[in-house]
Amino acid sequence: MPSILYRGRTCEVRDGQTVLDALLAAGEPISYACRAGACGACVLRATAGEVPPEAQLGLRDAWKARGCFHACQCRPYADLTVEPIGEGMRVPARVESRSMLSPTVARVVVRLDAPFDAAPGQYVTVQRAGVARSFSIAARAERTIELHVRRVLGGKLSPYLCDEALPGDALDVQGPFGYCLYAVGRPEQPLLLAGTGTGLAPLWGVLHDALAAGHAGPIHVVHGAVDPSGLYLVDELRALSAAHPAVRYVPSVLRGALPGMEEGSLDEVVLRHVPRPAGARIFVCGAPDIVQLLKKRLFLAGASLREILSDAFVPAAS
Amino acid sequence: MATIYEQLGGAPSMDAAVDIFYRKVLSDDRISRFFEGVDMERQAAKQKAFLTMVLGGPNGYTGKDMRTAHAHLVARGLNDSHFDAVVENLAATLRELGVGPEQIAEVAKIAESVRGDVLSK
Repeated sequence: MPSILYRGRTCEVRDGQTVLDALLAAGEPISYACRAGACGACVLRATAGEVPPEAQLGLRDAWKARGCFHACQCRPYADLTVEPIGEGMRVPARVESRSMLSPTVARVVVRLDAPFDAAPGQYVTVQRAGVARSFSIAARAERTIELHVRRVLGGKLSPYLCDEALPGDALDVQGPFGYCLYAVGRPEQPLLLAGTGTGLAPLWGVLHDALAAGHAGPIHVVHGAVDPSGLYLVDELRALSAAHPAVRYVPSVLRGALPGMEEGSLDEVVLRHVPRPAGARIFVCGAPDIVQLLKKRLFLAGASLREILSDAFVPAAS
Repeated sequence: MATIYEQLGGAPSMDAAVDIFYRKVLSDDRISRFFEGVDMERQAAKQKAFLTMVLGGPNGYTGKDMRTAHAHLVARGLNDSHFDAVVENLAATLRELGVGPEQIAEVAKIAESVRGDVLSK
């Protein structure tokens, strides 16, 4: 039975148990959220011992090199020495400002109190009072990041961020995670940005990075929601599309479309506008089942798998 | 003599091969249900390892991996007919990539060698 040395304490890992479960069982207050190796809340760092590769899936190479791993995905075969991830990966931060983008989505700007290397489109885990949740970076400046937060009824963090957060409130920010970011190069390549709900946040970030880099190829932005109340930044995206002929913005809803919106499921609307996605660079973000379906349909329609970057917003485990 | 893997261009060519192969497999009604709900990136990584192996490239495949990885599918009814369908798709992929019939037969032979492990026989 392998054992874990964590902050000077040793605990045993039962057969098939994850590092997260073993440490929680031993009473260690490890943060976690999705338990699916996606949110990054439970990422720890091994300073001795071998980490199974599946526990490092999705982490950046720089993190892997430092021995970081998802505790919820780590079933060790041998003893591990483990510590919380270090300086520069988790930074203290403060709420800078908060405003509503729609009745249910807030724009929260967070000021980072230490250098933080993250690109728009990647995501971070925000922690406050022992609760950790993940949010995508919609924009960033030298020392701030901007997040889109949907208010989840009965949620443990979003009601605070949407309705109560005051400038100066302390938070911890951990990350960044994910690969949904605009990599400079091939400026003529068509881009397809599609997502649901606050999946718009990373797409907004990628869109602005692409335009700032002088991307010249056509850019489709398809934002889907159940009904028009779920869409936001509609006027801003229309203005952007009017200012940049290459940008085509398609607001899309399942029902109750207003003038200028399309009706249908996201995959149908996307394929209506981009029937032949071969050769395009594609970003798909939002509800996991829709992300999964859209990726599959785009792939079957000719998109290359390595050109599809996605970020499924996995809900927190209760 | 160069392996088919080398003839096709080695590791960099495997991404394109996986795109063709995976698209065929997902579009094949005989077997597509076994791929419902799987993570596409992870599945593509596995198929890349499989293609690399059957084309003669470097691989760390073991019979035990194959058994463990497919046991839950065997429980859901995976059988010889499905294995045959995958080999058909593999052959069609290689034809599309310009591989000749004799070499395709060689590859099919290598694929055959894992049939027992895949089907938990």
